[in-house]
Amino acid sequence: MLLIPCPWCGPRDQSEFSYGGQAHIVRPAEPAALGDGEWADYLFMRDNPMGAHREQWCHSGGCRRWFNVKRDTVTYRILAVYKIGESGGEGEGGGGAP
Amino acid sequence: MAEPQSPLHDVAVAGGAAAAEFVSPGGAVRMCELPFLGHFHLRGAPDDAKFLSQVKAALGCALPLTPNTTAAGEAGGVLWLGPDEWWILTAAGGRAEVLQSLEKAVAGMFASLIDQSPGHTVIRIIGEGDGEPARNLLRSGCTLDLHPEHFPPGRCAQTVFAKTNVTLLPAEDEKNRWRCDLVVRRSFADHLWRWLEEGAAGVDGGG
Ligand SMILES: [Zn+2]
Repeated sequence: MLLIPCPWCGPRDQSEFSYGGQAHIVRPAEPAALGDGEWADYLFMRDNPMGAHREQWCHSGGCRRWFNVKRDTVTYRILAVYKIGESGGEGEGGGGAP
Repeated sequence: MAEPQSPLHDVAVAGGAAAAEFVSPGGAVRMCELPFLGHFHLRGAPDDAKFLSQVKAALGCALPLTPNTTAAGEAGGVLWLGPDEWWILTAAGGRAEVLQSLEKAVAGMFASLIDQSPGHTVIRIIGEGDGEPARNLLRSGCTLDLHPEHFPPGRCAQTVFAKTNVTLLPAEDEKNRWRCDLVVRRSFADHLWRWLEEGAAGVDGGG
């Protein structure tokens, strides 16, 4: 079980969160200009790294905000937590009340 | 118009009381419903000075901007729910007046105000003695750290409690007893009440 530091609520149990897959996937500006292959790539193809992975989580049982987590897929260690719209450098993490 | 009915109406009727009440067999945990409170859901931009000041004027207190904290105004308690989201809980009497003044405060603004009163109720847990049995009961339903040092009065927390979404509000009552209000959706109130009743028997005795 992970203890995930929500950027607003601080560390909370994984059971309060839902997972939203890989982060920072940008929707193509002109979908109509894309071929089937490129569109399928945008919709379905995801990285599956061994190590650091940037992913989206939602504090669905708490403040219901989406945010980004950089997590090591081998150790499950959470390397960084940052809000939507932030770049997510090292060291940005959760604060706030429990 | 029909009289409003609490979601714990049947519990109240079975107990012969106006509202649902419960005392654990060993007396360490007390429980009651606070029905028909005003539950107003407010959203607006936390960096909009006009929004903040007009709501402050209507409530008699500033909206709490620190996550998971509360504020107390003349109109009632204000809970932080999200960076742009709050709940205003008011006494059952005067509900309409508070809603009206809030409506006026946010009229024409980029804000949202929803009356969720009929959709929620509050279950109050009161811990006798040092409050540990009552906290142990709540600990068995959620993963929050409920120690008063970490979760003192003035805080609030939304969590998953016994498989339903609950907002917890700790406080100390006039007899210096630890207590915690559980805000729950109407349709889950019966489930939560019965879960707490059953659990209270198991944590008794320690107090
Ligand atoms: Zn949160």
